[in-house]
Parts: sequence; C-alpha cells; structure tokens
Amino acid sequence: MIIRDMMPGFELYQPANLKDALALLSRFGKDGWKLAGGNDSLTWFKERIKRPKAVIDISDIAELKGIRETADGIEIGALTTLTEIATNPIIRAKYRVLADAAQRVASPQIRNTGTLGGNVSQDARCWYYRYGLPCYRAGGNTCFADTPEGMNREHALFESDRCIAVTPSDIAPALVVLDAKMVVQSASGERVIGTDEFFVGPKIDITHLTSVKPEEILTKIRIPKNWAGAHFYFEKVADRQTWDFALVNVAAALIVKDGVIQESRIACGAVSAVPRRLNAVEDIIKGQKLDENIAKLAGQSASRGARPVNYNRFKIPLMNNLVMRAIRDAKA
Amino acid sequence: MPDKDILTGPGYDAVRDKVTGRGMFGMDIVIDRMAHARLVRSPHPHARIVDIDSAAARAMPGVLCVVTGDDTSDLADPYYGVFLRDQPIIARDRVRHVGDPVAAVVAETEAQAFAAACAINIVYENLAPLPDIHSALAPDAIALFDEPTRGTNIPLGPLCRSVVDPAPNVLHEFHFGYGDIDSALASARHVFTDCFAMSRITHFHLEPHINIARWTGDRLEIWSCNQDPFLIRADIARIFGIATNRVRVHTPLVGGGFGGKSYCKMEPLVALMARKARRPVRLALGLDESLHTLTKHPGEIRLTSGIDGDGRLVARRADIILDGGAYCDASVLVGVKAAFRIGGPYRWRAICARSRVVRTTNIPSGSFRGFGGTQASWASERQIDLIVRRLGDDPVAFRSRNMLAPGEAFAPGDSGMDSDLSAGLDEMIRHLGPRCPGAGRGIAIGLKDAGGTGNQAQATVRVSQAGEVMVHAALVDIGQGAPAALCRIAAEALEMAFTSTSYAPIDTNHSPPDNGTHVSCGTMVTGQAVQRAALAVRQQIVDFLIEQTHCLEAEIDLTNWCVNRNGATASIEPIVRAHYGGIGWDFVGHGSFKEPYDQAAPLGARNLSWMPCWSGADVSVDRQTGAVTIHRLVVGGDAGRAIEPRTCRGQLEGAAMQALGQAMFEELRQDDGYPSNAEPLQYRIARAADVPEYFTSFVAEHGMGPGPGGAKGIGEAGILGVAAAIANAIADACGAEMMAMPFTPERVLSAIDQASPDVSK
Repeated sequence: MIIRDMMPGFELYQPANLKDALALLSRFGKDGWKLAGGNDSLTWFKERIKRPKAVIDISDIAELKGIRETADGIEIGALTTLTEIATNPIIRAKYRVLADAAQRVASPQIRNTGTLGGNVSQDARCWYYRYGLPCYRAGGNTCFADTPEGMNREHALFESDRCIAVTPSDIAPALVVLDAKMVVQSASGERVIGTDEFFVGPKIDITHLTSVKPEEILTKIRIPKNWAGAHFYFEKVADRQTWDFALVNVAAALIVKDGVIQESRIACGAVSAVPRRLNAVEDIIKGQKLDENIAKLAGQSASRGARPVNYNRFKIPLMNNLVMRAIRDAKA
Repeated sequence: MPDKDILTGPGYDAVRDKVTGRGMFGMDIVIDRMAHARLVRSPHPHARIVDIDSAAARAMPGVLCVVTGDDTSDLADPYYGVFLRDQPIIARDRVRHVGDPVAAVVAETEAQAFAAACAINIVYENLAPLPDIHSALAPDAIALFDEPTRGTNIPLGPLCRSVVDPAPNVLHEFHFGYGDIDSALASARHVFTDCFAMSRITHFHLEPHINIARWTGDRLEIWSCNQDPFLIRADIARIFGIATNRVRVHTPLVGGGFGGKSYCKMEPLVALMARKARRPVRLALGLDESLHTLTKHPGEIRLTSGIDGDGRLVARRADIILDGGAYCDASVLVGVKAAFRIGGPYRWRAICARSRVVRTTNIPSGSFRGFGGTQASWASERQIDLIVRRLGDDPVAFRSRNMLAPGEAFAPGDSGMDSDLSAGLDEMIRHLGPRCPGAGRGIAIGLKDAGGTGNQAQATVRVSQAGEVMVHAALVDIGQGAPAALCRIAAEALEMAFTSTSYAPIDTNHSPPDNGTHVSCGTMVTGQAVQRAALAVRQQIVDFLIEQTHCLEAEIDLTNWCVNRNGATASIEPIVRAHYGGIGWDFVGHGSFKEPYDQAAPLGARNLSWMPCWSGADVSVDRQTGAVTIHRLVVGGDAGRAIEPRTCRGQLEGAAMQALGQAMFEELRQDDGYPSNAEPLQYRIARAADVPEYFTSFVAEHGMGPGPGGAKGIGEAGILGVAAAIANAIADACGAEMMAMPFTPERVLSAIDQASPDVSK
C-alpha cells in the first residue's frame, strides 16, 4: 500500500464563463473532470484513484450561482452553496424541505464550500469502491460489498443490480419531492430533465449515479411552485450528528386540506442507488384522512419490496419509522 | 487564578505559541541538507515478502536510497516493543498488518520520494489473515511468528503471574487474584455472568508522527514528536549498538498524543534511513498513515460476579481477551492493567482475573489514554448496572454500599484509596441536577491507578541572579499543559512569582531523565522531582544570602527578589553579582522522585495513586430510529489538589468527549484484516455538534494524593466511566442493554427489540 495523500498532476483549466467551460468539456470528453466545491473531487485525486488528464474548475463561473424567483417557481444555480440554500429566505419560506436537507449535509465548512450541483452529482461512498478496488462501479466485474462477509450496513435495500451502492446525497430526496427540473447543458444544447431521469441506477449505468455526460454540465435546478408552502418533512439518521452520510433519510411534501391528504410526494435516500420515490405510499395515503392509522399504514408500506443484504436489515424498520413520522408530522 | 496569567506567564509559552501559530512543531523544523522519505506499506494483512525490486525507483530523479529489511542485517537487535520486542523497524521477511512498512525511499524532495515509492515492485506470497481473536485462537490457525518472542517477562509481585507465549498466537497471559474465588462464588446468593465487547478505535492525534534524524559520525540526533524521549533514546542506542550519550532526542511541541506517541514508533527507521542516505532525513507521515500505526485494544471481557443477600459484592472472576494486533508495542502492560483493574472501585472478598493478549493481523494495539482501565471500567460498570436492575436495587445505593472507603486498600498489599468516592458521587449527581423529563439516567464510576508502579523522574531548577527561573524536566507537553503545571509547582516551592518561571525545551542531552509522559504521572512524579529541585535551589539561595549578608532567613523575600534588613530593602541581584562577577550566576537545584518497590504489593510496587471518574448521563432514545440523544453529561475527577484547575477541566472534558466518540460512533472497522475506514475522512471522531446539550466537568480536590499539596493525576480520568454511564442511561431509557460499542442506531434498535419484542412502537 502506497499511502495515497499526494495528488498526481493534471492540467488545470479555470474558465470564466459557461461557454468556455462547455468548449473545454467537449474537447476533453472522458479525460475531463468538472471541479466545483471540490469536496468529492479532491478526495478522489488525493487517493489517486481517479486520475483525470484535465480538470475544469467551474467554480468561478458567475452565471451558475445564485437563487432567483421566477414566474414558475425558483431557479437555483448549480454552484450555489449549501449554506446559501439553507439560509435563503425564499427557500425557507416556501420550499423548506430543501433548506432543511441542505442544513443536514456534512459540516458548516463543507456546506460553505459544497455546492448544490456537487451534492447531487457526488459519487457513491461504498468504501470498497472508494478504496480503489476493481468493483463493478469502477469498471470491474465483482461487488465486494455483496458477499456474506462484506461490510454492507450502509448499502442498498432496493433496485440493486450487481452494484449495491446507495446515493449519498441528502439534497436528492428533497429535490424529488419538490418535483425539481434539472437543466443540463452541453456545447450542442440544453436538456431539461426530471430527477427520475437525472439520477440513474446500476441497471442504466453502473459506473455513474447521474445521467450527466462528460461533455455536459448541470447548470441550474428549477423548482416549480406547485409544491410551495406544502407541509414538508426532512429527517436524516446517521451514526454521528455532524459530517456523516445518512443511513436513511426521508423527505416528504404533503398537501392536506380539511384533514385529508390531497397530494403527496415522499422519497428516501441511502436505500438505493437513486433517491427512492415512494409512489406506493403516496397512492395509499391519497384522499385519506390524516391520522395515526394512515401514518402507521404508510410506514408499514414504505419498505415493501426491500431486498436487504447481510448487515443492512436494520434499514427496513428505520425507513418504515421515518416515513411514518413524516406523515404523522403533517398532522400537527 | 487571574486570567491575565494566560497573557503574562512564561509558563504558558506553549499555549500562547499555539494560539498565535508561532509554536514549533516537528513539521515546522527544517534541517540543513535535509532529505525526505516516503514509505511503501503492505497492502496485505499477512504475507511473505518474496521479492522487492527497487532498481527502477533508485534510478529516478532525486532518489538517494531505498531502505528495506536487508538494511537491518548488521543490526544486532532491530526490534522494538515494551518488555517484549517483536516489531521489526522495517519488515524483514513477512508483513503482518495492512500498512506494515516494507520499503522506504529517501529523495531530495517528498514528491520525488513519493514517485519513487510508487515505482517499487514488491512480490508477496499471501498468507492466511488472522482478522480477529477467534480466528487467531482457532486450533488450525497459522502462527503469526515462527520464533519465540524476544525480550523479558515483566517483573511483578506476589498476587500476579505473567507468562510469555503461553499458547499459539497468544503473546502474553496474565493472572491476578486474591481470596478463594471458588468458595466465595459458591457462598454468594446471586451469581451473574455477562460478556462485553470493545471496539477498535484510534488515537486520531491531529499531528501525525513526524521525525527527522541526522548522523554526525557515530552521533545521532533525532527530532521526534513523542511522549517518551528517554525511552526512545534507550531503544535507539540498543538497536544501533551505540552509547546512549551518542543519541540526542529533541522533543518539540507535540500535537496530541493520547498514548499514540508513547514508546518507539518511526524513530529507528528514520535513523536507519539517515544512516544509509548519509544525509539528514525527514519522515512526515500522513494522518492516514498514523491511523495505520497504532490503535486501542479491542476485545472481549467475560465477568462472573457474586453478590450476597445484603447486596454486597463478594467475588468476581474475569476473563479478558485483548486483540493486540500484529506486534506487541505496549500490549503486555495493557493486559496486566486491564486485569488488575477489573474490580473497579469496590470491595471484594475474592478476585480472579485473567487477561490474554492475542496476536492478530490487525494494526498493532498499544498505549491509549486509559490503558486497559477504559476496557475494564466499561465492562465492570456495565455489569454493576445489570446486577442492580436484576436485583431491583438502586444504582447509587448499590455502588455506595460497595465502594472502597478512603484509605482502604485496592487489593491486599496495595495502596489505599486516596479519593472520597462517596463525596465524588454526590458531587456528580448534584451537577447532573434533576433528571431531564422523559430521559433515562445512567451513572458509572471508572477507576484506574495513576502515576504508575515504581515510576521515577528527575528535574533541575535554575534560578538566575535576577530571579528568573528555568525548570528542566522531560515531561512532554502533549496538550495537557505540563509546562504550566511544573512551573507553578516550582514557583510555589521557591515562593517566587509564577510569571518569573519558564520551561526549558526537552533535549535528552540537557533534560534530566524520566520514565516518560504516561499514566497521568506528570504532577505527581515529575512534579515531586521539580518540587524537590526547587526546594534545593531555594536552600542554596538562602544559604548564600545568609553567608553574604548575615541576614535572617525571615528577612529574605524571594517573591520580590530582595532582602529586607534593618528597615532597608536590598535587591538580591547586586549581592550575587558582587560575589560571582562576570555575567552572573545561576543557582542550580536537582531533585528526583522514585516510587519504591514493594515486594508485598500485587504489582511489585504500590500504585502511586488512584484516579476515579464519576460519570453521569441523561439520554433519550428514539425507539423508531435507534438514535440516542445525550441531554446531559457530567464527568468529574479528583486532582487531589488542582494545580491548574482550568487545565484539569480541559483534560476531563477532552477525555470525556473521546469516550463519547467511542461509545456512540467511533470504530476502526476492518474486513478480513483490511481496515475499511483508516483514513481521516471516513473515520468518525466527535465534533463540536456532538457535545451534549448540557456538558460539564468538576474537579474534586480531596487532598489525599502524593503530589505537591496532595495533588494527583487526572489526565486519563475522564475517559474511564463515560461509555458505561451512557450505556446505563440507554438501558434506563428503553431497556436496551448495550453489550458492545459503539451504540449505533441498528445496535440500539436490535437491543430494543430484544428487550421488548412485542411492544408496539
């Protein structure tokens, strides 16, 4: 073992605007690496596991920063920091689940440098993968976690296919329940996709957690106003109170009228490779009176279809209880 | 103590230097013509080294040399360890844990050394790993060492038995006991057996190990961040076959130790590299490398305890198995101390304790704040609470009924309890206040000895003609504030101002020797040596002034550095200058302390002192997520007499947070011998937000310690009882009995299910 705390060399580009950045990305293709807040990238570099030829530092591109209220909702630049999101008055007033999720990410220092785009684009935290082992996600043909003795307490309950890593993002489930639209740009144009297309599981692409291509950049995230002011809930359970990844997190948005649940969106993170939207639970509670019974029923249905591995069975009751609480909380 | 001391006392130089960034740590030191080194470490937990091909590396730019096990062939004894020596300074034929150093590159720059280290090609033949105690003890397990262990058995007293290499893959076995255990247990009304487990944690001192070595002919100088300059000097001299006075160890400011910088670590290897390169060589480990260097002992403790019909403890049998990792380090002593302390602060008719240190292919375990006492206190205080619940007794009343009284011997022939345990327990409960609504409450009293057995130190105190004081000792400032405490002891003995004192840098050529910065011994052992040196130098000054001025001793005022005689005040400085001339004169006093051996004492010498840790916690448990919230945490220790009260609290609170980390989330995990989170990003230590809502400490001053003014050690106290107190509070809150650390959400959830499987949530 060479202890890997010394970064290998690379070419560094610091484009001043989006156009130049996109041109650089199309020039380097797979050899290019987008660097924003650096919280994920620099670890990979220091560990010498990811060795890009060219690093395109997009952190100075002003047009990718800031929060704007629009006619249809709000638009958040991908480089907006998590601290800005957690403290923004509009988000806190109308889309509180996003502010709450941002507030639960890592530590103050990381939230000050970490960006919205970076948080939803960060790579899997499976330690076998992070260790540089040749697993499926690294392009190999083994999963080291999915073995009888594998260290898999943090791993997936759902939708795993060869790789059992989970999405580490706290922001992702919040965006799912807000029905966010992701704006992804390349030199040849722009595509606007939902979170269901943005986040991808191993069946679609085993080596990436998002559908963003090497020549593309996630530029902004639009949050439609239809969920503004809904009843929101976010909770994260982790081993340590700060600077830790979720064992399970839950985000929920509910519209309740006269004690009856009109609409809801509920999602859990850290249970599959993508933030898991709980459509079945949403269907069960739609049109139902919001009471303890429906909260319990929702909780019991939350993990239906889970396929635990050896050491992550505890996530099933954990997920059930978190979903139950999310519903119950709307009653108050 | 006035706060302005922080700004004005030279004794606080180290504090001031740290907060202003001026402090010189090992990392800051630059030596002329210094070359840089990087290590190649084993990627395997257990393998035979078949071939090391370093030809390409040696040809790379800037590379001066590559050092491997072959370079140790001319050394008579290239192994280190405490009492038992089994750790080669660099792997010779075999690697025994992931991270075991196999080759070292010396180059002009660190980057060149790193590049060359990557170019070294090593062929290994993998051997079966022994990732835990059970695989190592299995009948068909591969032997980790083919040869008998080098070194000497630890000398002990009459109630102890120590065996080296008692069984395959068992490094050391220790027995301690008194009374007739079988008949005592047979006579007990209730007998309970419980098993407890400890996880592996790491010291996480923020300053990784850093060393610079420079040879001048056969003289060697080392700049090392360490806790034990004189032990390192002795080891280096032995390994290289040179006289101790040819080895000079400088110890700059140390950025945290917690035991991780006790004894020899990288020092001999850096000296070997410097010898081959014929240049000064610097080896600065990364934090992840430090995490691969030493850990705390994980293990299992099985306790069988008997209680009589009146709720009094009768007898305890203990079987302690510690995972010592790949090499001995300080394992022998940790095993001895864990077994010896298993009775905790209670009275027993019989104790029968056995500890075994098992060799595994894990990162070596060694000295860690608490030193076996944490493991023993965790198991003991957990079992006390389990017993209390089973008997329907009260946790405070049960403990009070069984606690040692002041002066009562800990074990036959040993020293008496020098704290009022009952008063401390009352004080802790007072600080804890009324129970938080809905919370569970847990208490625990951790205990370990402080000051060591047979420990010794020397000190020198110099006073200049102008009344400036310089204290010389080898007690290292590892963040515990040693300089300020020793300076204050000297100032008090001299009856001079604290602001006139200063602590000399530590250098084995000039500092008076001591046994090392361990076992919370600073104020008691080195402190007594300093006090004696200060009294000796004071006497010299008094004698000199009486001889010169024919004054009375009562007329001498050292605080104001003058003699008051016949209504006139004469400054001392001119009197000294008039006699000695030149640039002036330093009065020099020497003092020493040696804790005597005692053949009747269980460990061959009485324990110098006892260090209780009164801990209490109020916690609530989320029955749906298993998350534990600590609302209140109180930790208290007895400093005997607090020489630096703020520092004492700092020690208690820092240690308590270290204990909280281990209790709640810290764990160095491994999979089949491969550490999985031995790097700073993934390893979890407690952070500011993990501090409980209400967290306080208190420093009792029971005045019964052997140090100056009744002082005694407190540095490790805070770590001893906290984990058990939190676990006891969890049990009180929800019935979940934590038998292993850390108390992760799934462990708590599963324990809740075990406690009440049918209760609806």
